[in-house]
Amino acid sequence: MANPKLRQTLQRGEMAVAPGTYDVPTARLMQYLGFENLYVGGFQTGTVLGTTEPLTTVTQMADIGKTVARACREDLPVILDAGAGFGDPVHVMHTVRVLEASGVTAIHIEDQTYPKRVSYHKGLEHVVPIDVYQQRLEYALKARKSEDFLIIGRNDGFRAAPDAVLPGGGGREEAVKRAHAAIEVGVDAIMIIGVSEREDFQYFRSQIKDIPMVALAGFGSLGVPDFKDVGHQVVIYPASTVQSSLMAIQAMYEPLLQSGEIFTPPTEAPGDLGHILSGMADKWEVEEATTGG
Amino acid sequence: MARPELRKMLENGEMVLAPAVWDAVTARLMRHMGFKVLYTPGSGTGVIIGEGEPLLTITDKAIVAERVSEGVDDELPVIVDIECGYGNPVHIQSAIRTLEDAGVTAIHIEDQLYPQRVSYFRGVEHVIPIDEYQQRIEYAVKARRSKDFLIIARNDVYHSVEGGGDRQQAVQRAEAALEAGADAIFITGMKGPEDMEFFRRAVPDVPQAMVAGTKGPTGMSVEAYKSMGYQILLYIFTLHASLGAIYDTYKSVKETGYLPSSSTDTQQNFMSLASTLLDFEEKWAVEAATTESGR
Repeated sequence: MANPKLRQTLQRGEMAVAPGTYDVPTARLMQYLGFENLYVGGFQTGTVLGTTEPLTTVTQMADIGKTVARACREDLPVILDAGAGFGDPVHVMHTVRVLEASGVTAIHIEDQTYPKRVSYHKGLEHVVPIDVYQQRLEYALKARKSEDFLIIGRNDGFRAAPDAVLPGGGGREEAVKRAHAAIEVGVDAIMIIGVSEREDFQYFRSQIKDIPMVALAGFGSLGVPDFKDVGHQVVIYPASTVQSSLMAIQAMYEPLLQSGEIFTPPTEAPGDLGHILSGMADKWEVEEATTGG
Repeated sequence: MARPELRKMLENGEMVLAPAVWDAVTARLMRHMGFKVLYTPGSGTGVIIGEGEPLLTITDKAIVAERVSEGVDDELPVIVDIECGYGNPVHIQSAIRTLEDAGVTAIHIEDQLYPQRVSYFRGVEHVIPIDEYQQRIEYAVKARRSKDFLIIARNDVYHSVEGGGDRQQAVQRAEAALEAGADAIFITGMKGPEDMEFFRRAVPDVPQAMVAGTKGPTGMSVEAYKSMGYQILLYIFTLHASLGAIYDTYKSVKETGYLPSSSTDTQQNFMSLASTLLDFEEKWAVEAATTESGR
């Protein structure tokens, strides 16, 4: 079930900060730290699955969406990356139904070509014509059951590569046009990809009015206070979680292979974090009352 | 299919360094770094399902083992902690078949009470009688199809409520397990190098496993484990390192709104690591020859 809290947060004009998650412990950890929304990104999911995002199926996304949503008993709204919607309007409608049933609360659908290209990961991305994009969103909106299930119109028109669809490549105006096409069919929020400069965030905010906007954060990017300043209400973290994890694992195991020594890296996390995230204290209580300590 | 490499490593006297993993990317990272064997511990997998090890099912174990093995294209042997074997001998046989089908190469099975108690995680551990334990091992050995599928017999009696610190009971259980056909022995609860020396001498001529690390009373370098005769080293801390790092990253976001500062080098290192782990170059080459012709 879509969680009404995200729509309410947006209506109140509050910031919705959604850290990236992909399994039970990452979801529970964010809840433990006090975050009120979660994000399941395509890059991160594709990385964890070892497949890359363009080869990830909607079945896999729904599976991870469900795992993350249920990890927190569906108390926290989950925003999930639905990529290019996984096909034509008939497939996009199926995507929406499958993802809404998975228990996530919002999805973003973009204008990249489907099947998605891996070249996207080296900055070479292609978008479909604006009318095809608009139809994706129109039918996505028709397929949702609950008004609390939010559809975010993402577009990659800002940095798309020159091709037959956009001979001159992407740019500010193309991104704004696509955002307006998305708003026309009734999306709940707008997300423009490839924005990193404050000035660009300000420009897009000035051209796209009266609708929440989504910003992507990562190491070295603007922070939550900056995004608030430039009127971007939803902040998602598409890569920082898996990046933190893999870099820490690599750093810990490198010395073992080199010198045979291994040291767990320093962290501010409680030593019994695994127990906390598994609800161990409650279970000990039940055992004490039943099978004994 | 069980991989033959692990048996060969043990026969050749090679050290087996098995780091804990839980998904495709952690498995792939270890392969990339040069590890030759992978491990899925109960403790870590328990955190992955969010309920703790005693609540795991054999299904959970098989799912995690399968995605780890697939993550490395089934190229590396995977050792799976199957705790008590998930029931009586009939259940144990089913568990072995399930994991062998999932592509696992070795399991360790122990003498804790089943269903497993959560109290184990605060040091209150219960074990079953030795004859029942021996039956667990006997039927596990009977259930395997391939000789390359290895049964590591773990026993926890030494630090259990019932064992009360009696070394001899642990030795007896190891001997009972060997009699039933176990391929290796894993005694837990050792308090230091003295215990390690004792058990190595008391249980000779068979590979022995240890939870390894540099910290703690039995923590030492790989060389030191080798000289003491412990050949299978299980490194269980991977998830702890991962979650600790994620915790620090997002604690900063929660408190300041900003991610911790990170050098451009770290960023580039991550992108290059991700690109390697996900075979970007190979995929880009296919695209350059087809849908992205020339680009």
